[in-house]
Amino acid sequence: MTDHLTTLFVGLGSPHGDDQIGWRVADWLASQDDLPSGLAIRKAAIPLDVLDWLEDIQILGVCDALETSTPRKELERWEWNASGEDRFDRLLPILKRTNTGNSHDYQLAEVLDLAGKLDRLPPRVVVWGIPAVQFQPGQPVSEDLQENLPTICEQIRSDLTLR
Amino acid sequence: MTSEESNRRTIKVNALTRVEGEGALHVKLQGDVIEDVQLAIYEPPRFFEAFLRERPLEDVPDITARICGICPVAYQMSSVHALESALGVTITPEIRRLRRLLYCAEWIESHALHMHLLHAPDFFGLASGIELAGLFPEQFNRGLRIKKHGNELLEVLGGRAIHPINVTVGGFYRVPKRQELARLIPDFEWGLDAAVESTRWVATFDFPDFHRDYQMVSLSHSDEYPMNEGRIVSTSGLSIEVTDFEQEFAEEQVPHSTALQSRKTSNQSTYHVGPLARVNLNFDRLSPTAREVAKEIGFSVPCNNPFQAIIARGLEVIHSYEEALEILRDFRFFQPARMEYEYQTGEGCAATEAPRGMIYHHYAVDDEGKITSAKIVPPTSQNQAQIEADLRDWLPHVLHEDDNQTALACERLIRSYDPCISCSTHFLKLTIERNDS
Repeated sequence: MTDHLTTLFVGLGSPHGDDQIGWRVADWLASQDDLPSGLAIRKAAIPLDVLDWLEDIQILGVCDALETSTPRKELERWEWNASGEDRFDRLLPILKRTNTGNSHDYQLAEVLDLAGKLDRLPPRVVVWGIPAVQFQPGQPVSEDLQENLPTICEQIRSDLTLR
Repeated sequence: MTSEESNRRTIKVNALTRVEGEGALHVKLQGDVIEDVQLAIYEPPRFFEAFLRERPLEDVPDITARICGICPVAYQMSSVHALESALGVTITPEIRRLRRLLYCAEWIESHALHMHLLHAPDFFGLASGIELAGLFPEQFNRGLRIKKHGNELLEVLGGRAIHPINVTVGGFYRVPKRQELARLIPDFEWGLDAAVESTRWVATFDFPDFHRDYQMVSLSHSDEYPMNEGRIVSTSGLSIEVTDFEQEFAEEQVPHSTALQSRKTSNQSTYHVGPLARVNLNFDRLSPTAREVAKEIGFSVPCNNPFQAIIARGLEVIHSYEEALEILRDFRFFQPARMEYEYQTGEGCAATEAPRGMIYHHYAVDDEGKITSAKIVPPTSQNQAQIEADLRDWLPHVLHEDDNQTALACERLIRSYDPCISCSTHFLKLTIERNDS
């Protein structure tokens, strides 16, 4: 991503178990010295918050826990680009089938759909889903995920700084 | 097969969505005669009343708040008022006023959510708020921003936007600083105007011509629009103390639903709670701007069209903004944040006005501060029998349609009640047994 672009990274999460992982990635990124200029990092508890932060944003990156039945280490990644082949209307149905576990508000896919309807969707959007298995209230991040966190963070940082 | 058997038609809706919990609707017809209408809530029982027993009474506000993510304040307010009644606690006027501010926040966010994201799409034949956003982006954006204001005030005063954590028996854990509340004033000034525009907009919707002879029930207070206190009144002349709730109304188990249904004990009649009931019974205590807008849009009481509850919600959002602004502008930091109390054996009950209607709590406590019994009657369970009765009356208007359209029409009626809801897409799976003669 070139320095003059306005880029927003959002870590989605909650205090419950592995659902903290989006916040952890945001915290880690915010602590790094060598990120490109023009990158803003924010944390959100509900996807709908993202809708308010999209003004003048050219590239949106969102990271959230992805509920799975079996643990695995590989990130899920979706990208759409207004000028490319990966158009939003083709990828939205795929994203809508994922389970980002929000029960009281619009899920991330719906918020991005809404952003499109309201003409706020940035020209390029990347979503990283981090496979996660436990979301117990008040529990820490599971050990396996905690162990894999540095790898996840590096992967996302590398993705964000890729030109 | 007899001619009677060949005339039987069953339409089943196995899973409602856009309701808090899971439910279904089952309608059985013999020709044009409706034999049975069952609104079945089949979500497993949640047992809150049971697992509150033997817990410290201080746990009750935060535990009951988890009953609902959209109206947690209603459970917190009802629980603390009931427990304060059991303990003989009298709160200060400052605490009382701050609790009304918290309720304003919840009414704003809950009503804005329902009006714009859940109910408005029905009036345009749309499946979701997202589709509505495409057609009415300005109105939808306005609704989202109004909802956000409610959540922001909940966060400042309640400590968290969802499931606030600052409410306790006796008052609050922490009183906010004046500046924390004062910084919300510009947004709330915008919000009052926005609420007026939203109400004007929903008043233009095409409402079905459907009117019911409801027994509407709500709290009523001599000096204010009811939130946390008042007598229980009805459009049929009832006026009782909250302590008489259980003599007047009773919950019963029905075979087809895990949720209890409420009826009047005297004659087993259904009754209607919610914003439409509140506005009908307390119109003259709405804020000045709310009453002016009602007059401007031609809304008057009595209003007994359930589809027009969206207008009642709009008027209550206006009222909530106007009252919230008055409190925000006048607010001065105070102490103590909460009243002291001592444990004593006792019982207490309270009713407050959740966004969806009157909610009742009753607790018994022992001299160690433990809950020995709990009873919680939410507005949605009180409305369930009324919803079934409404559907019975509404179905003849819509049964000429195919099953899908009939299901949608039934969903729209149920949605006008705003049963405790998480946003979703479809909500009603309808089964209609038709036995056409």
